[in-house]
Amino acid sequence: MMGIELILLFPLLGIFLIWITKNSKVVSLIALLSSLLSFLIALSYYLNFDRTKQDFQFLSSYEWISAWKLNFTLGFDHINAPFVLLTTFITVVVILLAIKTVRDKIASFMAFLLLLSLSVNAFFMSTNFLQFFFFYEAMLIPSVLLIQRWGGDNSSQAAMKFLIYTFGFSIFLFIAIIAVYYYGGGFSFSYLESLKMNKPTKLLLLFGFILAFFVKIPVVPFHGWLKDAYYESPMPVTIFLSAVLGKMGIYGILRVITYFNDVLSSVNFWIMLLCLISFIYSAFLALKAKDIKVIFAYMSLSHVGIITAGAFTGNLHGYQGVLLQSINHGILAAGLFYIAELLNRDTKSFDSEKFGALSKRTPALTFFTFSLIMAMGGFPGLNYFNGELLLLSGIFKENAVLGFLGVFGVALGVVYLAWVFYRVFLRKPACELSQFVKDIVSWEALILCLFFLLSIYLGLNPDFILSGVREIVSLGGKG
Amino acid sequence: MSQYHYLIPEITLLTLGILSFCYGFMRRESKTVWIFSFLSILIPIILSLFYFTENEFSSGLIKIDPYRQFLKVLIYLSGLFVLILSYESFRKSSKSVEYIFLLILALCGMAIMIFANDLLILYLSLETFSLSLYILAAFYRNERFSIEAGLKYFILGTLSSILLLASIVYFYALTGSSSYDAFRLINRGEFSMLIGFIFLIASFAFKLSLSPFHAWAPDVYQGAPTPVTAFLSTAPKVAVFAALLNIFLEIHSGIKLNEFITVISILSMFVGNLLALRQKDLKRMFAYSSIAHAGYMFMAFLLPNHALLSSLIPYLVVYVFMNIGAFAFILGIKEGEKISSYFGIGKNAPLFAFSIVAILFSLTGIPPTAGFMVKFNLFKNVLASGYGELVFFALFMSILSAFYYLRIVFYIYRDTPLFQTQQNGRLNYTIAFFSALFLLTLGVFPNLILI
Repeated sequence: MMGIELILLFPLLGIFLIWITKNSKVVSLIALLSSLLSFLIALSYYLNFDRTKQDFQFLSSYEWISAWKLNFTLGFDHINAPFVLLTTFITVVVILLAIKTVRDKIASFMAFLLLLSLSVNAFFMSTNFLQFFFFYEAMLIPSVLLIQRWGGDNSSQAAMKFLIYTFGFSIFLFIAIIAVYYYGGGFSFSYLESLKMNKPTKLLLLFGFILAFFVKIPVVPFHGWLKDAYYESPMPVTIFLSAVLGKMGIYGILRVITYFNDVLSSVNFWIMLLCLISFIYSAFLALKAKDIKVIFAYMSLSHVGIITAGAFTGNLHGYQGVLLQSINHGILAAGLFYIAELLNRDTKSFDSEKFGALSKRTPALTFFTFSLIMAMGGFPGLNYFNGELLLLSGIFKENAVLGFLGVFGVALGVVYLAWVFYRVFLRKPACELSQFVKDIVSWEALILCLFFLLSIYLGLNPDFILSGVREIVSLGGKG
Repeated sequence: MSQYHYLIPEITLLTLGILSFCYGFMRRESKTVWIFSFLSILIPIILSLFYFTENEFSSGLIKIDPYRQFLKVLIYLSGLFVLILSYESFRKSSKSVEYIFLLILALCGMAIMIFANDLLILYLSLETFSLSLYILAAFYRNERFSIEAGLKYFILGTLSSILLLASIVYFYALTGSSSYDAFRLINRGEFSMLIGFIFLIASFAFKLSLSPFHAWAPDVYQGAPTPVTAFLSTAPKVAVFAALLNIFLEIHSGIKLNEFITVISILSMFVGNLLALRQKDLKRMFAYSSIAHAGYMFMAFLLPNHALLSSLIPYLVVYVFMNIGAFAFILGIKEGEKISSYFGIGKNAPLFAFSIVAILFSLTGIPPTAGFMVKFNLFKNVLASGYGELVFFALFMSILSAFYYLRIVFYIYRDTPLFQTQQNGRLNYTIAFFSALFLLTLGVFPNLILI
């Protein structure tokens, strides 16, 4: 009887079929179908899982390493289920986009994309640390090759930077996991509860996790790989990087942080300060940038800063805010990068100075851009507002000064997005590149419509993600 | 008479080897000789599996138990693969018969070295295979580099033999016996025993190309014919590691050599990984990479007995297949030791490119390849014994290794339509593919290898 592993098996089947058929039309269809099936299965499991229970559900287990008494086990719970749903959804969108935009070597592009989505999903669904680490690193192979083979002129350098940062800092995760194995008794997540160590050691363990995950998210002093990797990648990969891969780090923090509530209160001010500085600093970077793709890359970097800060508040609001906002951020960042690709498609340029007054030529595109930017700015009724409210209230509960920093960053976020909208869509009637931009056609409108409707739906019904999260957090103690 | 049946595979190997040598010597008909010698390695492998015993057999001179038999099969397998890899390079050579015979002789010496339970047998078997390897390294008689490689290997190898003899003398003086069993009798605090062990490890470190005894490795690896380099970097290392393992299991970690081992492995990892960064020649790069890998494996000797076995043996298996695979792809394309030959393989030969990528990621230690699993296993065990700083350093070094391994991957997927890759033989190609497949399978199902 097949269970939850179908989410992984359909992409695997898709990769196999792509391998044996070479016809580019069929390949796109196979990729789309397999990712769609995987999304639908994830959705059906998501809607059916019991939100009153705290443990992993729909467990499906295979014997893996008997010498360490370790099984390969996949499962769903409150924390990882939304992330799996996000990943499968973004995969479908990215494949739709890639069918239209990727010109050469489409078969291997699709195969690598499915492989990436597969390993990220397996990462989210894993129930023990070894499996978690295994897929945390395994996802590097497809992503590095995607950046390098289909990227821009400096793609090799960007891919190498991305690889070295992630692979390099994963040694801290490696050591932390082995420490959990020896102090806790096994690789399963639940062994974090029974750690037999004193407080300074536990703090060191926490820092091991934080260092590894902060590079993946990334938070500012560790963000060196971000601009190159986002800028050099082809747009489908950029969307995947920003919407899903950054969430891997956030998910990792969410997974472990509740077990560290007893030591967290002594350091959380400084960690949150770092995250908020990242939030504001990258907002300034975005303000200064002229290139649309770079602006959106820094926007993505900026927002994950405040999301990460929420995880360290140690209270329920912050925690819920992180979960909700990660999903919201994934959807909206994907939408905005998608718009950047639409601008780039006919003009081959991301320079915001060369566009202008698009609102007359392309009313539909203007409408969707403006709604997504409004959503990102925290317009009430759209999805980002709820998450921002939860995050800010969580931070304010912990420390008022940090709360003010957060509000300041949110305000800055509105400024640069409005600024880019003004420059591209409103001012300077006769700009050189604007005349080449065509308005969106049916299927593009469909995708943007999907993003917008999702934004409205999650804005009105955040319980779709949040219901039942209360019990999990109260586990830790402070909550 | 009955005790001989434990050695039937080795006797068969030697007999069949001599027979095929005589046949080849008289007829000089190369194709038949290749098939015949292929069979004379394959049959002992099948026989070893057939005669595999769980119980331990020990005479004064040799000892046979499950893990030794396993490592012996590993050596035979690597010999078999090297023979297949040699076919393209040596089939037109007039000396191919001699080449094969030397290979089989070396395999035989290594098998005996693994079974040895006496220091003199150890010395004899070490010399048996070393002498064959010296000649093999200098096999291209008309090339300057090959002669240089053979000579360098010979001179430094002799030095290591002298060190081994010195350590045997020390042990004999202490115990009055050359058997491994006598190690138990030694008074542990004895200073001359410490000297004896340091000589022993130094002599083996030459063969394992551990730093600071590594100076010969890059030149020999570069100068020797590529199939011989593949052989040099796998089989002798397994044999010498196995011999060291036997001795360490016998003394029951009753001796304090931890600082010495730590220093050697740190130096090897450092030198290997750092100098590999700047290499233009891939064979030279793999020499440094094998120095680094030997450094990782040498850390296992800090562990107690069971952990030592369960971390070293899986690593050795995977290491052999990674290196055979690596040299298979170097042989698989024309001028494979130049990095510029790798341009655009991704487009011309996607399956071959896939094998290269899998092998290189495995060497770096990134999942889902077997290289990750064995590295994780080893580092986990070493960390558990309380060598946190050492493991941290090793991890840092293995990140450095990503630079030089993955540089090749980036060359593979760079598009240059002008450039046609010159492929060199279907056999090499197949071996690379199979070792890649093997590494991926072990990476996804680590249960097959982790004990």
